[in-house]
Amino acid sequence: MTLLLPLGLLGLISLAVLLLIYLLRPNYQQKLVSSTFVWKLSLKYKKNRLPVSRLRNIFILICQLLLLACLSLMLARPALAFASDTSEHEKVAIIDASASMMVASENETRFERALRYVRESAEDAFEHEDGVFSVIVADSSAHFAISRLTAEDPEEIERQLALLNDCACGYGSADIAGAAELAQEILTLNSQAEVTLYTATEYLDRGSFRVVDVSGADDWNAAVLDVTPILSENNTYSFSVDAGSYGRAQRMTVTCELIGVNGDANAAPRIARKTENFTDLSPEKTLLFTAADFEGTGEAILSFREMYVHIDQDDSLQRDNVFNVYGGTKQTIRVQYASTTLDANFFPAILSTLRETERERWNLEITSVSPDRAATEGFDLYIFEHKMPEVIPTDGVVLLADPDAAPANSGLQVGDLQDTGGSFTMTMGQPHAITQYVDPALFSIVNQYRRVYGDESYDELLYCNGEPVLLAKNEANAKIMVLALSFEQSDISMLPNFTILMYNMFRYYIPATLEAYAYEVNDTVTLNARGENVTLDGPGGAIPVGTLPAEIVAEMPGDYTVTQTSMAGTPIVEQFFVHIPTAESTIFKTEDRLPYLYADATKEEGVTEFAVWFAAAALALLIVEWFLHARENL
Amino acid sequence: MKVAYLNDDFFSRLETCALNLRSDLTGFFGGKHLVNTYGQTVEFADYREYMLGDDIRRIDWNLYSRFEKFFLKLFTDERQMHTQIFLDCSASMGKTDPAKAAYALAFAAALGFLSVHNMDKLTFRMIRGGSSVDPYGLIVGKNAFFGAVSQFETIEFGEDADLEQAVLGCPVSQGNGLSVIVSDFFTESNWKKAVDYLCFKKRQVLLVQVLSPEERDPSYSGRVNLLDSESSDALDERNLRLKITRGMQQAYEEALRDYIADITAFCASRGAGFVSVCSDQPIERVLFSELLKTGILE
Repeated sequence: MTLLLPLGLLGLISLAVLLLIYLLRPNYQQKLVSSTFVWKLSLKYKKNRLPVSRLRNIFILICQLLLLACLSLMLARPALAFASDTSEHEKVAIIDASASMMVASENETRFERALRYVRESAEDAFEHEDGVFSVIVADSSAHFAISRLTAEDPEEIERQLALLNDCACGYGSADIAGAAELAQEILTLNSQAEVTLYTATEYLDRGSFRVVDVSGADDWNAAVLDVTPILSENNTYSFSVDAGSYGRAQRMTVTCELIGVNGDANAAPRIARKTENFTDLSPEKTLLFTAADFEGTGEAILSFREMYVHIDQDDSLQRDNVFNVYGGTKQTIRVQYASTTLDANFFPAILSTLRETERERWNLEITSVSPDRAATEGFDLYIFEHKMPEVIPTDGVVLLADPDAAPANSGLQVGDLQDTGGSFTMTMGQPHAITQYVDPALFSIVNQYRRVYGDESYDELLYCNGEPVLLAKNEANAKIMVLALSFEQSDISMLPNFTILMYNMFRYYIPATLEAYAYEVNDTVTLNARGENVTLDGPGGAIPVGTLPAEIVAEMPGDYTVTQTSMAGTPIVEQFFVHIPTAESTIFKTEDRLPYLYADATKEEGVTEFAVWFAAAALALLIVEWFLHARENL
Repeated sequence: MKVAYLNDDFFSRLETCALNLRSDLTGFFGGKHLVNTYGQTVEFADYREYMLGDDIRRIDWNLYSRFEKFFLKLFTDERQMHTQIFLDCSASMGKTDPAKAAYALAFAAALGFLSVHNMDKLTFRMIRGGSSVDPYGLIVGKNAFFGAVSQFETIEFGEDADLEQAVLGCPVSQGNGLSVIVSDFFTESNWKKAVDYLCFKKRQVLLVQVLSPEERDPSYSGRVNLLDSESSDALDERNLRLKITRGMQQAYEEALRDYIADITAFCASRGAGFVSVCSDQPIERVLFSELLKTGILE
């Protein structure tokens, strides 16, 4: 016997209180009567009638004490712990809900076949009174579809099994490890539970799992596994296409349709086909498509808008027969460099390095002009050195180096040049993406700097002698960085740190929208933008983006479109493609082993509470006490 | 004590009634009560043969002409009785409930009035402790009666009363009238001896038990320390500590009922009259119904 709430025994204090009340009960009320003669006579009648009246009062007190004791024990929730054998008719069904389970043959998919088997298994389990059944769906994250459904309520069983109809196969890989953890939870409760995995994957070591193969006899799959655009040294594209045929030796033709080649949006698609024999021994092949393989003049492919790769086969899984390739057209970033010292090589060298580094992503067009010919619109990046424009440009990113004056609307105040006399301290300001990996201690020579103060919209990133020399702001229509150091009077432009600084600045203000243009289902897509009003549309509709940079999980295969508006107000549209994982196209997989399940012998532990019995006893005592009181009133 | 009942209307209604005493009482000359002895009234009683020494004027000559023997015609006699009213003046009669005392006084006064109205002699004897006192002396005639009644307001009820000692210690003449004891009879005293004594003296005896409504049906309950009004202090053994429940109240009612039945039976065995009244009953109804039932009133 245990007490689930021992504090309830504090109620026993009421026993002492009751006894105290009995001891301190009120004195006899004084009553003046004419004579007690008849009362004395009546005592004989009273005694004759109820000889046990004195005992009755004791019984009433005992009843009240027992009643309070019962109530106190009720509060303490007395219970008896027990342990019984767990049900040997408990079953746990794990359904592989990976994309490979969408393979259809004999008029049903593997997933549908698995569901059918699961229903049959459930009916078998519920033939026993102690039958318990659970279903775990292992898609990208394993979860319970049915959790420990017992055979007690047939209507509930029907309702829960009907929920299985709502289960759908995922487009990604199966979280078998997660499913095993959920199954382990059940095994912890009942070591006799049978865990069955319904899958088409073959496991060499099944451990304590029972594996049911749900593959069909005619299953086979032709797939475009991956397509990789290859940009050569001379900026021409060729394509590497991975294709495969699983479950059948097949001669197949891979077709590539190239759209918008070299900026010609109206031209007809250029098509290339290659036919290969895919055998059981070599089910996967890599095909290289060069410009010469495409129909037409064989003109080099400098850019393309989209390439549509497909295999036209009536296989068991159609989803992976197509593959769209994007990112073949590099966006042009127009850079204007205006300086009074155009013959100096500091900035041109940095810009050239930057252009080469970003070659696969951006096409940097660099224009060097003298300050008097510098434009204040039409560029994506403005660099003004020494001589500042009268008005700050608003349609691009602006870098002001060694400013001699503050452009209008820049929010800056420019002061005099300050001589350090060779003695200075360079310190880091607030942490910022622009100064990432930059060590100010490496700037060893600073003879002069200019006092520049920005309004509250500027972040102060570097200090020299306690005064800001690197400021940055990033607003929708004002992306400005100010470097208040003279390149002639410091070594900053000659140090690798300056290259890092410029690279950080470029990546910060002009980030790439996408890291890649092809993802697998359930990959995390990092989304960024150099413009505003960013939207994302996928196969399932619009997807909320949130704060940039945003991380989006692509849950469905298909084309995704990112739209944004540049600072100049022009729309920028980019697309990427999400395909089912390459591993899922391999519909006959063999894995080494399933996760290990351990099962210590379990007993079903429980407690039987006696509160009801104590309540019944309290009620009985109440009735007895009422009876004794009633006898007293007779 | 102001006795509200005692007024002219009350006594005028009593004038229509008379005490109906036993005829074997001897009494005194000059009253209105017919007795078994032969006297000089006009009411025929019997005949008897002439005996030597009888007054020859009382010979019935009509009978002589018929039987040729001398017979005397006898007439009933009317006597004056002496009514003694013993009034229990203990605390139980009026200390806690003055209405009970007033009721007892009114009852005594009513019986007294009936006596003097029938030209009987009347004595009020107030019982206090073991003796009875006669504060008004022998009352003959209504003037003396009303003079005595007017002093009823000065009567105080207190202490206890020993009916036995008071009656036995009182000079009682033999067989010459009615003795009335007005009390609640809630006493340890052996009042039965007093009744026996009165009966021994060949007096007609009437017991009047006066109870208050609370004594008939006590309404209090719970844990009560009952203080007897005649007790001297809190430690007096007459005081009683009780837990009065419904059962206890029923036992009280049963004890009271049995006690009254005991008095009734005793009185019946002694040829005494008994009436038990409650002070909440209208006194006229008690007089004209209960006393009429006993036969002592006509």
